[in-house]
Amino acid sequence: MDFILPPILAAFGVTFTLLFIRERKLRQKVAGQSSKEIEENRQKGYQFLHQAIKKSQEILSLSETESIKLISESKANVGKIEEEHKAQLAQYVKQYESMLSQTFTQANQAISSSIQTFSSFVKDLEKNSVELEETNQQAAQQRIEKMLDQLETRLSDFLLESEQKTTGSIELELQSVRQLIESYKQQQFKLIDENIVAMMERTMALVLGKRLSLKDQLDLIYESLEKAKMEKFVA
Amino acid sequence: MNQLWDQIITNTYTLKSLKNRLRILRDYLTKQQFTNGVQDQDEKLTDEAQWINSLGKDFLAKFNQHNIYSLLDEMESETSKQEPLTIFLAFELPNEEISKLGSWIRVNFGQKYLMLDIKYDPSLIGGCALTWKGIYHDYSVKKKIEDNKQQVLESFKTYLR
Repeated sequence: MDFILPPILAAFGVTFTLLFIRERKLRQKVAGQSSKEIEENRQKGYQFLHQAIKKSQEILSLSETESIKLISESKANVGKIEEEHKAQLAQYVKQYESMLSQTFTQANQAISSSIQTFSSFVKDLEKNSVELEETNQQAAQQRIEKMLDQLETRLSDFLLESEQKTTGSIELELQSVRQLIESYKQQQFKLIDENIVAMMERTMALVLGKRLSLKDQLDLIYESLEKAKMEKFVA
Repeated sequence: MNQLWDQIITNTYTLKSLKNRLRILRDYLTKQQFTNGVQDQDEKLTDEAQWINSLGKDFLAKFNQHNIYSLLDEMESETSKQEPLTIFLAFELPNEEISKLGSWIRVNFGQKYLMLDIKYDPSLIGGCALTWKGIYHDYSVKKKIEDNKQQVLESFKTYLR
């Protein structure tokens, strides 16, 4: 209502001003008309103006009254709404508080329940882990014992096998070395024999070549030729 | 020509000697036929020249200026055809022993015109080795030692023990 009144007042004001301006222009326009007519018109104009002013004052007062009425009504409504809002807000706050407290209670219960569950889970876990550890330890120990047994067996087998192999290879090596020595010995003997023969030949060639007389040499030649003849070498 | 060749080769036993004698004969006959200088050289006669004289006047008379070269060429050709018995000896034989040896071989091996090619190999110690038609056979003392090597060594080893 506070917003409606000023525009109405302004509209009246403008209308009045326009009418006034129109009237004045009409007067100026019809200045040349008769004074009577002018007077009449002036009287009419005054009447109209008086009526318009009166009407506008009535309207103005009415509108003022209305506006005041409206303002008071609106003030009353605003207060009422505020109170309603306050009451509603308080109710909402109360509801929220109760809901929150309920939620807190539920949350607390849930947390405590979760903590209990978790603690029992942890206990179970701990128990399980201990059991598992024991089981694992036992299994590991058994496995280690088994592995140690296997290792011992394999090691003894390996040692036995390597001993056999080593003995075999040593025997083979010994045999090979003996063969090598024997072969070397034979070669050396052969070499010595050859050297002895070569030495003897060389000695004989050196000594007999000088010591043998021409007759002896010729005898040896004819002896050789006799042999060739016997063999029919030249046929 | 055969008669001349027989006469030359009868008392020539080595291939080396044959070639040498033919060379001297050629020289002698050439000078005899174509120059008068033979008499001057008679004083310098060697054993080979003496051999030429031993051939006799009838032998030399068969050569004249027309046939001298053809006959000598034929003889040299015949020489190159000879296949000698190579004999390896441990020492050098005197010439007279070579003749005896050659004669002995011809008689005993049944080869009338067999020529010897004498080579020396002191490593043979004694005796000889022969090569005939590409086949070598060792009859030397060295070969005997080689053949009896084992026995020789055994006897040596008895002294070593």
